[in-house]
Amino acid sequence: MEKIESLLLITPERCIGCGTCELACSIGHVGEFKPTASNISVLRFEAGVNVPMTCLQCDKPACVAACKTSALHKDAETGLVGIDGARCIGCRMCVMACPFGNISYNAAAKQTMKCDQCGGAPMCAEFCPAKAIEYLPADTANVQRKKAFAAKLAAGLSEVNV
Amino acid sequence: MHFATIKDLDDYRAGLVAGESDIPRIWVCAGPGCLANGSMNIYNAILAYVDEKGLKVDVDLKAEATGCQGFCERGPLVILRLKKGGDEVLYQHVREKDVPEIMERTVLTGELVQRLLYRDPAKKQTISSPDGIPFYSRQRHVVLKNLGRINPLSLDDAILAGGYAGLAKALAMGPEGVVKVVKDSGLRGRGGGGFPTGVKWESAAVVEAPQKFVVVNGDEGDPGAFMDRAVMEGDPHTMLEGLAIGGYAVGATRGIIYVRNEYPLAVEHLRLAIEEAREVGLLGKNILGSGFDFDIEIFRGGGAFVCGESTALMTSIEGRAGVPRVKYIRSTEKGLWDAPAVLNNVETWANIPQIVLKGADWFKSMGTPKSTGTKVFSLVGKVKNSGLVEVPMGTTLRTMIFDIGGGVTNDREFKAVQTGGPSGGCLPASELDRPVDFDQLKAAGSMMGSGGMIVMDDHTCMVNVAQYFVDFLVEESCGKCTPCREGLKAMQTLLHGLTSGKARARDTALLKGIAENVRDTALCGLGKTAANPVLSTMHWFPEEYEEHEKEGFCRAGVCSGLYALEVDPEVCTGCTLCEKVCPVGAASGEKKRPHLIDKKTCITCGSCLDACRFRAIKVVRRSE
Amino acid sequence: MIEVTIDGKKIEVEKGTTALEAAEALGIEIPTLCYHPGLPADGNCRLCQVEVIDRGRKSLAISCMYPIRGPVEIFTDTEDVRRARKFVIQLLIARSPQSPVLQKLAEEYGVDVPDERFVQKGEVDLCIRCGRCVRACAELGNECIDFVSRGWEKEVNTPFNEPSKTCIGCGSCAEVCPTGAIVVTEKDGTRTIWDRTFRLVACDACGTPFATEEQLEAAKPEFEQTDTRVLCPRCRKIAEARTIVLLDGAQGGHV
Repeated sequence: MEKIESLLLITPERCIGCGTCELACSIGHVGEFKPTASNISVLRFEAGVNVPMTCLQCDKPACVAACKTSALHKDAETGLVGIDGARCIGCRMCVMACPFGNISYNAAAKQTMKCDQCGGAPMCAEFCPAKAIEYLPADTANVQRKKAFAAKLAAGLSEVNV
Repeated sequence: MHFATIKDLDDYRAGLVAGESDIPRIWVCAGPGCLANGSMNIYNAILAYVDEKGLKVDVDLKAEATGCQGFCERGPLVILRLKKGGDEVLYQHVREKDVPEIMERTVLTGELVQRLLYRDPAKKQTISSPDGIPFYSRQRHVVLKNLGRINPLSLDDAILAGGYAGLAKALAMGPEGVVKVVKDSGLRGRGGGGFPTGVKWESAAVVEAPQKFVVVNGDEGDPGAFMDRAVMEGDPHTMLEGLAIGGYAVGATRGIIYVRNEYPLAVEHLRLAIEEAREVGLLGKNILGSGFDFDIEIFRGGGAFVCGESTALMTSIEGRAGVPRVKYIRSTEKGLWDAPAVLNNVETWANIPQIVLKGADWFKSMGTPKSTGTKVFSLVGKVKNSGLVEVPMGTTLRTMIFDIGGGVTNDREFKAVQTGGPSGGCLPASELDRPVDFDQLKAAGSMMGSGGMIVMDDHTCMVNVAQYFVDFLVEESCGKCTPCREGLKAMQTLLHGLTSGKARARDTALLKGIAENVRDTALCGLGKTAANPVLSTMHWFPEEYEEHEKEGFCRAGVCSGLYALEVDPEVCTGCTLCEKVCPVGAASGEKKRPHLIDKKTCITCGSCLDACRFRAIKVVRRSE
Repeated sequence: MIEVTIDGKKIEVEKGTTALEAAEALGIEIPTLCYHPGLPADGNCRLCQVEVIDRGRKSLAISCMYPIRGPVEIFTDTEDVRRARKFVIQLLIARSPQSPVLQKLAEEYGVDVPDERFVQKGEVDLCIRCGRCVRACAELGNECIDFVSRGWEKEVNTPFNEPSKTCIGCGSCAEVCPTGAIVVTEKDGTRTIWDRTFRLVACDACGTPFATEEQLEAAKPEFEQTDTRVLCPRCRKIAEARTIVLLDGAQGGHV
């Protein structure tokens, strides 16, 4: 994790559920405002509680382990889980494997979809009006915050290293 | 018995030479042709006779027979030698009932059975010694030297004939020395490609790898070819020895023989030979005390023609369907299971022991500068003396077909000779004086292939011949690459159109275009050469294609419906044979008067054409 | 690194880089059919031909497999290259005249439609025998399909033309097929492929059928899951988000 310069941090408490991140993501990736094509989703619960969910770029990604053609890989430089779309054979094992539902397959486009942090300038963070999604330097404090968020997610599972 | 050192082997050989008895010897040919003609019955009759009369005759072969003696046309063959160092006598067309006479007259009293001797058609006299028969005297036996003279199941016979002396010498030379002598000899792959064997070995020898392989391609699949079969059946030890030498030279400890399962006798003989060699320490650990470990396994092929292609063969050994792979990386780098593998065919391996033993200069003294040594051919088709023929490279087609082969069957006119198997080419009479070597055949639009040689007479339609081979290749294409799979099928469609009179204008040109494209774009060697039968017949016999396309005429009288038959009244003797063979009653006439063929009734089956001894029946255009 | 020239443009590549990869790096397009970057190359369709000049010797090569090992010169659009590609397209379109992919290639390369003698009659056959499906299935470790027969009769099938026992119904074969020859149908909570019908497992939360039992089995995680429900990816996401909400509620009382 040392090499990562910035982190995508999510603070659900701040999320106002506006869905701007979904629109920003989809316009950035598929060129239209289409929340279903977004790699980030806002899940809205009762009483105004909202949680933006996107790829956590796991240290030991289950999706990468499931991929037989090396279309998915954990980039040692950036720490991101990247997709080489050309290598994908559409087996969807990654979709089955991700414990968080954060990777999907677009059958029409024959493409696996997941967060790529927009190559270093995540649109979701840029457009989030409530700072629920932030792209911040990977200093110790932020790494701690990210770990805390991940730990919460992991509480739904056991022995998973996110 | 176990040979721990080279000296052990030498001593043993010396003992065998000294102990060679002076009793009469009889070699009964049990090559494929003679076997089919009942040579085992002859052999058994000889054994029974010996038993009955209590004769002291060392009849060769304990279970089966000697390997092919070559002169298949005259089989079954029996060679006799009454005493050590004495003249050999060859009896031809021997039948079981001839055995008592051979035993009583020749073996016991030394008299010759005249009617079983070869009769020279020119000089009208009999010849008793095989060396005096033109079929043999024009040959030079290197690979075939032991065939028909040893019991393939006897290691003693092999050792007595010099077997494993080459291996012993190689082990003393060191691997580099062996590679050098093979390289210097100029030996080129006998499987068809003609790649320099020594260069191939060298490229494998320099690769560092924990495991290397040497492999024998014994998947002889060309129709009419049986050279490799004869060697594997008749002299297995020579090939095993060559393989062991190759293993030593390139640093391989495992040898694999890939042999087609349609050769059960070859499989059996090789199996027994390997076992025997292993027992005495000529295979296994620390061979002859040299520290060299080497063993051989047999893999049986399933009968796909394409498995004769080197990469398909190796894929097949790996346990997958035998399809070729793209060869940008050589097998000597990554061949079998990604390990370096040297693959040569049976004949190439069988040349090795003598090259090591007698040296590169000896080998180079035979053949042409760029194609050294000899080559074994299976001479078949419309030739009088069909059989197995080994000649120095550079021997002309004429020598092979007319001097050794005795000319065209029934003295018909020579039309073409097909060399190189299904992917080879057909050469016309004007090419008869071409010396046969790798480069000369290639220059003429054909190829050496593994050594098939099919002679064709004037009653052969070249379009039909091309169709025959393309039919074969359509059947045998593995179907992996588009040009071979789809292109051959398109060629087949066009050829069938030409031979059935349904061709359209410019079909010949279309066919040529497809054939050239298949040649240029196919994946493997077989695909690239699959168009050869079409391209070579088109090159040398363009008029036949033109007649088929434009006039619907087959001058050879082969393509049914594309010709009419007429009797030449000047030549016809009224023998009535045509009338007898005609299945539809179209040929008729009075005895001793010229006959007539009713063109309306005639179905152009060609039976009369084949039957007429006076060549009175002429092929004419339908309109004439 | 080796410097090669492709269509006059120079590029430095690592030894062993294929001509196709090098051309792609230069933005030069080469048509392919049997090639798939995620699968081992096979070089069987023969469409990606290029001309290579190596030490003065000119030859056609299959760019998807031709390894660059020296400073060669490569041309991707010569007369010979176009002729070779046209030939391949013509042969393929005779077999599968209905294929839009081939029709597009034929138009691009000006390939004449072969006369009716060469055109396959009877059933529509979109398969070009490139084996991408076979290789994909093998890569996944399932090996349910392979080529059967040879030559002109070669086709892809399951063993003995019977529904495969090892197939997990993932549909990768259909996904990688360049001509859409493999049909997957989904209806009434089932998925049918290669004559085998799979029951689709419904999501325990939303009830949508989303994957075959065999697929879920194959993707079973190594870790123990506390939530034993079978959830579709979407519901999995919701469930995870809910975890956070609950945890936050317990700690901060935001809910």
